[in-house]
Amino acid sequence: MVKSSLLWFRSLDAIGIRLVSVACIFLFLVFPSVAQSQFRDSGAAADDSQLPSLSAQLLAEGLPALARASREKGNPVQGAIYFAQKSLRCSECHARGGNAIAGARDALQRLGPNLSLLSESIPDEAVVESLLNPSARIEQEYQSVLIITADGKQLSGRVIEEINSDKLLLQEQVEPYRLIELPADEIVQRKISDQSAMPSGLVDSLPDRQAFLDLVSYLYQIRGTGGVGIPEAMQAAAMGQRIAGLSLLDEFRCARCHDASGVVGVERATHANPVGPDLREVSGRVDPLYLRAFIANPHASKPGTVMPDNMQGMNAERREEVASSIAAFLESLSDREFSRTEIEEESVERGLKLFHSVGCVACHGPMTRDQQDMAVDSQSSEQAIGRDLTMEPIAHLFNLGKLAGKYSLSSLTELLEDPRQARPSARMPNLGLTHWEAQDIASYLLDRDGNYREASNLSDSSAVAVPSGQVRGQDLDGSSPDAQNAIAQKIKDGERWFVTLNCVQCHELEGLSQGRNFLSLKELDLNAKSGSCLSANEATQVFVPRYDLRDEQILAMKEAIRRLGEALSVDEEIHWSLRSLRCTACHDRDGVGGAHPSLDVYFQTTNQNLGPQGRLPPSLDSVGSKLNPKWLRQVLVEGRAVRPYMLTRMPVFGLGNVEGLLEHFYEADQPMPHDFVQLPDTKENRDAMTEMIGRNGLNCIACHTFQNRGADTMPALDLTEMAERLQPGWFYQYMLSPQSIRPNTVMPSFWPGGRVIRRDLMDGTTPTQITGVWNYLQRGRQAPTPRGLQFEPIELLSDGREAVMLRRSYPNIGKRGIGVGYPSGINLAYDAEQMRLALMWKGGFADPGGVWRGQGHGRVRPLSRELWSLGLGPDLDSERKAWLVDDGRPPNHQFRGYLLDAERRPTFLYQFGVIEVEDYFFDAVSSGGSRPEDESLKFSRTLKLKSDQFVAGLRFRVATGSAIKSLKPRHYLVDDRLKVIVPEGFEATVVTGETGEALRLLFDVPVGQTTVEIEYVW
Amino acid sequence: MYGDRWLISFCVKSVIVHWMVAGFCIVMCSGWTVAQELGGYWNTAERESEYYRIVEISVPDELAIEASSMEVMPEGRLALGTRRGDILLVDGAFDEHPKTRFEVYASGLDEVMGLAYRDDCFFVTQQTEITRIRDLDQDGRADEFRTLSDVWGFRNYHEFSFGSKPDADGNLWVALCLSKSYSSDVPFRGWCLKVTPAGETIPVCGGIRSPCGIGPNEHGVMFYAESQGPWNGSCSLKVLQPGGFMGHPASLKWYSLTPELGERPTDPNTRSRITVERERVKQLVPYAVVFPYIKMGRSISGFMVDKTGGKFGPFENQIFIGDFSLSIMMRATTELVNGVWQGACYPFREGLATGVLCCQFTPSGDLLLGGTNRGWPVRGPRQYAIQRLDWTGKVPFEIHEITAQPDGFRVRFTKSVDEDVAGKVDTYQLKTFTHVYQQGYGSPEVDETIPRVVAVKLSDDRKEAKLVVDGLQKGHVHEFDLTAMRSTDDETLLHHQAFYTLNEIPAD
Repeated sequence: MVKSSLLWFRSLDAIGIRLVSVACIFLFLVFPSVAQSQFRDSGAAADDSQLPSLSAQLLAEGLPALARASREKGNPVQGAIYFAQKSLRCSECHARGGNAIAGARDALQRLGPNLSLLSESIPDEAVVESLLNPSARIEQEYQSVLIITADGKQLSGRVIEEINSDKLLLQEQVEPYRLIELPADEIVQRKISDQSAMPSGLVDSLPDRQAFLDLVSYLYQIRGTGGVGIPEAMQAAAMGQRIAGLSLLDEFRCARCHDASGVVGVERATHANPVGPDLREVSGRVDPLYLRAFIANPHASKPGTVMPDNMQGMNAERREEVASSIAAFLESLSDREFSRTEIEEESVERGLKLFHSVGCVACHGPMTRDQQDMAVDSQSSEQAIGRDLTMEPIAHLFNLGKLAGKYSLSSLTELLEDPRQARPSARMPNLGLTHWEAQDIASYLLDRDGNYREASNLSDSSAVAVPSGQVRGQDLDGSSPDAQNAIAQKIKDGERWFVTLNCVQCHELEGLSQGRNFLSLKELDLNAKSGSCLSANEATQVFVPRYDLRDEQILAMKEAIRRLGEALSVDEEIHWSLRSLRCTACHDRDGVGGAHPSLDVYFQTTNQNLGPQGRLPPSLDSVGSKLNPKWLRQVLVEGRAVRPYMLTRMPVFGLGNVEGLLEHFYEADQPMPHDFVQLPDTKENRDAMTEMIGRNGLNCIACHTFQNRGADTMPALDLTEMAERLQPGWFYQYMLSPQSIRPNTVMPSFWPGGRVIRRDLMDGTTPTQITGVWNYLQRGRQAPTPRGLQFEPIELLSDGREAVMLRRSYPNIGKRGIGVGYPSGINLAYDAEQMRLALMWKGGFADPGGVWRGQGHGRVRPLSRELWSLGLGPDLDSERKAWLVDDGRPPNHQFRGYLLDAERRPTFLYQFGVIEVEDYFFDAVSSGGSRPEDESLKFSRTLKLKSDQFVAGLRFRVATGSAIKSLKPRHYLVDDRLKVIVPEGFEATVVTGETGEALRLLFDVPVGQTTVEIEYVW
Repeated sequence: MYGDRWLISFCVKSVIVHWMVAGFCIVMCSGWTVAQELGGYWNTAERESEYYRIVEISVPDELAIEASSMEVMPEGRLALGTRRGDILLVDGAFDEHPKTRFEVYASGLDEVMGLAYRDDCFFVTQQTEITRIRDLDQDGRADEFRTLSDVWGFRNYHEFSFGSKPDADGNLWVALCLSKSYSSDVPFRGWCLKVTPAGETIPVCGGIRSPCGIGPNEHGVMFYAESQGPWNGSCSLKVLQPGGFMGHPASLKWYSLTPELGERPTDPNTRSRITVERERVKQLVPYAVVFPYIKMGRSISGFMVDKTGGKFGPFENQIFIGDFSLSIMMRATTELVNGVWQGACYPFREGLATGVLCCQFTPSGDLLLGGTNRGWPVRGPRQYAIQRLDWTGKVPFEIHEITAQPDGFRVRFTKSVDEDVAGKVDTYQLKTFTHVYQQGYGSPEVDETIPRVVAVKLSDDRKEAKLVVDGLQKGHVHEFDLTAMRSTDDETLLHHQAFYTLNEIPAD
């Protein structure tokens, strides 16, 4: 713990000295340009092909001018986004940040220099030049060489290493960036290229000059931030053999036999639950043939298995016999039957993709060798020249064995869906696969061998040791008494062997007692030449288990056992857990672990803009200072995940397996210091904080998701979950220098070296601003929406065949609006509270965002600026005793619903006194004349009034407007744009009122049905 | 339905002041900021998953399905009503490993907060009205929408309407949120109305604030879920007693429209207690099951009684109720004591993906949950989700039910308990409190007392403990902490807490 906080202070120190370059201070002075550049129309000025290219324009401007402009007008935040963008591909070759160790590892995969390791003394102009003219100066390390080999092949790449002057390690500078080992005597010619591997026209894929300035200013910011070393004592070597050995003791479950009580370390090994697979249900899980073969000779069946061969000294026949009886015993434990079902081809395809993206590869390696289509590149010519080192096996990978012979589709699916049911140790953790994903991966794994079908035929016809469905001690019906006796005896023998051969030590079974006569770990004779599990030579004695151990494993285990009495530091305990649980296959801590370079390609993301941070699991350095304990617990135990863009999944381990690790993290990593200030909880302060998050402030929402709403550029972590996750001290320090805490992060600093860039926000001091951001974040899901949050527009449109409808609030209507978008491209909104046509418009139907977002307090927005809006009050009313109109409900009208026609146009239904009314609109194209431009859209409105009484003195309002002209009989023009045609036989009148004019029909309703047909033509 | 977010924070501060005044020591984070947590976790999700698995019901990406009501169709399909106004028919949602297929049955409705299917018709409660919907031409899509009742005023988007499934007589009960959840600006905001199959509308009772679920309790009596806010110190399940007063006086003005209900209740006094006001306001119905704020949800929502005949585990005939803010499910039980409904609530399952709005038992006895995290703060991370809780067949060690006794309580467990541990009075830690009944938003827990368990008698099957309690507090929530309890197999309780609202102490 002391060490890591030391590390942290050192990095602060480094920032203090290095990062306070004058440059950064000016960067944000012209901050309003952020907003513009962020939302600038990138296609705007790019079309004119007469103009010289952007790079040519920039070169003409001269390096000093550009260097200065970048300093003054560049926006490093936007630059960070460009850096990560796919089109520019900067991060494909260049790392940002990184400590010594990460840098060293990077060297293998990075084709260009780590930019944050660049000296701060590199002049600004050189930064500009390196972008515009990459070949002007090339660091020796990154020079390209052209090689011609003895058989005439040409290779180009950068030299990683010359090994003993007889081999050359070359990395190709084009995808897939293979590492190639070339024997020196194969090289005929070797020439250094004067061209940089960095293409010169890259800058031209930026949208404009401002973007270039942004990118340069970002490079200024990260220059000199890297290279923070970690204390040597923490480096990989120190963690070495003993931790590896302890982890192997877990893996091989040594403590299941050899008592570890009283031994430091092992006693505290709360991280591991080294119990063997649960065999109670094995009959349904594993092919009976495989089970027998595996028991008889585990190392032959599955090379690399941790299961020992306990039948040393038995001949093959005897082994078969014993294995068969044990298998019979195990199969009698459950009535589950093993049977294979067929595999679907599409499922295999999906499984292949899942296997190579969700994280299986980190422990089991890619399956490229068996799947030609997955091979990165296997052109035979290159193969002949040198080995492709990216294809080298990785020492820690686990062999999956021949799965097709072992599992059925359903049993492997079940295992993958919840591995801890059968394997409680969580060394195979739960990846949170859905049932169907598990089935896809299972399909792929079983199909891979190509003999799943064959295996199914075999097991179907084979003589299974015990007919399934039989339980110990039960009568075995259906077979002869002799056969029954023989089987019962076999099961009994199996049970005896299961105990005698010490299987029961790891595979606990109820009712079977475990042996106690083993030496304790402390008492073991580590120098024994034979008769011991760790004897280098194969043991030949019966009952001495033979493990398939490699020499280095034996050495490590011996080292661990030898030093069992020595106290372990918290850091060592952590590394032991990380190794045992295979966290290090994906994560690094103290420079140990992390995705293996050759597996790097299998760590993928849905959004390239986030850079490596978006695809590589985060470092566990200082994780105990970073995450709140509750959050980390949820991550490990309940699978809480916040990085939806990362395709590799964080597995779940179960509380019992990680409880100790959690404690140790918080013992080792102390809270980081901070300079938060006390901010009074006033409205003014709250508003200022919200302003800071928004577009005119620090514009956090340009990259960060807010309440699940992703930003335009990238889906960086959700702001409303930050405070729940993070500890205040870590947050404070991260704000000061994101790069030094998270090398590779896209996140720029707004307070580089503690200096304020935006003096206009809050009181203009660093502590207040960071406190403001933190206090805002602490509101979590209750944080007010920051200004400038962009919504993806929602458009509700008719598909051209059917009408679309939405009952909500519309302009000019209370809350009981019914909007209808008709197939012909005209729309209306009806008011079901006042029984009136309230709105009509042409074009698209509506944007329902106002009612489908947030609590839904807004209105549906018609997708037209030109709305034809009608006045308040019901369309149908009594002429003499009309309701005095307000925005309330008319007393004698009752809405009754609507019916839909075949194209889903509604007929509105309502009651007015004794009259039942149907009001139907049909959209059509009206051919007004012989010329096509005379064609216009129209609504034909059919009103049906049914009554069993005569009702006199009614009026029906057809239209309202500011001026209604009579064109000819029955034809009216409303506000010079809408033509209204009323039917014959009705008295039509234009009435002038306070708010404008209304066209009304006056009529009586006889008994029976009255139909009124009206046309509205645009 | 839920309070406004700024308002919540404002009231939280006033709560803090109350606490200070009451002399409680509040330790806020670290002095330099005041933050209101959405609510702590029970931290039981991992153990819960051993007994109740969360199964994802996948939804097509192109449909934003914010489920707000559910129904099981006669042919075994699921019907969903959504906040965006769709009714969807879903195949496969009841399968062990669901692979779903969605069909749009109807769309364009307004916040479907009640969905029932009877006699080839959907009975749908939406903001504006109750609608009977049919598919007359049998093409799988609705074409007839008949308004059964829209007598209530509707002027503000927050005037949500929650509808029940039909009761034994075929009536739908609809609970109407207040205007903006504070006042009653148009008729019947804050009322429960009953709508008959013929479309007749009968006012049931006023005094509602902001409902978020409505349906029968395990005895078939209609209840609704009320949210914390003015006149509601915490969320609660309340009985919709005809002519009763549900506690918030804003809606009482509409007694002018309901002469058949008799005299308008007297307005309650603010900064009082329910027990005190019950004496003054004879129609005031005490809140049957109080869900203490944050400990047991923040916005309780849709609920349903387990009538699966044991397919969902040991809690048959109990109420399962969701919470929108905390993305959890809880249990509740009710009983009629001295003519008054009361009962207890218990934690059940946390870690759901989104804010729970509705739940529905499936024909195979699993519990479907649906909802969204739109509009109000929600702990669950997804914008919308449909999930299912499947019982794994293992019985969790839980407090099964607490019932009131004249001299204490009867506590039933799902498994037999350890005789020694369960026989000790100290195993049962009790605390009581109540809320201030007031116009202000919510209430701190006040009038705390510590009753003592003076005797324990175990049943012969050792699944039930009869507690004799010294210091029962009428009108208080009795908080049980049984952390020390052990089963015969030495298990600890999956959830060690339960909360009984003791409106009445049973007569001998």
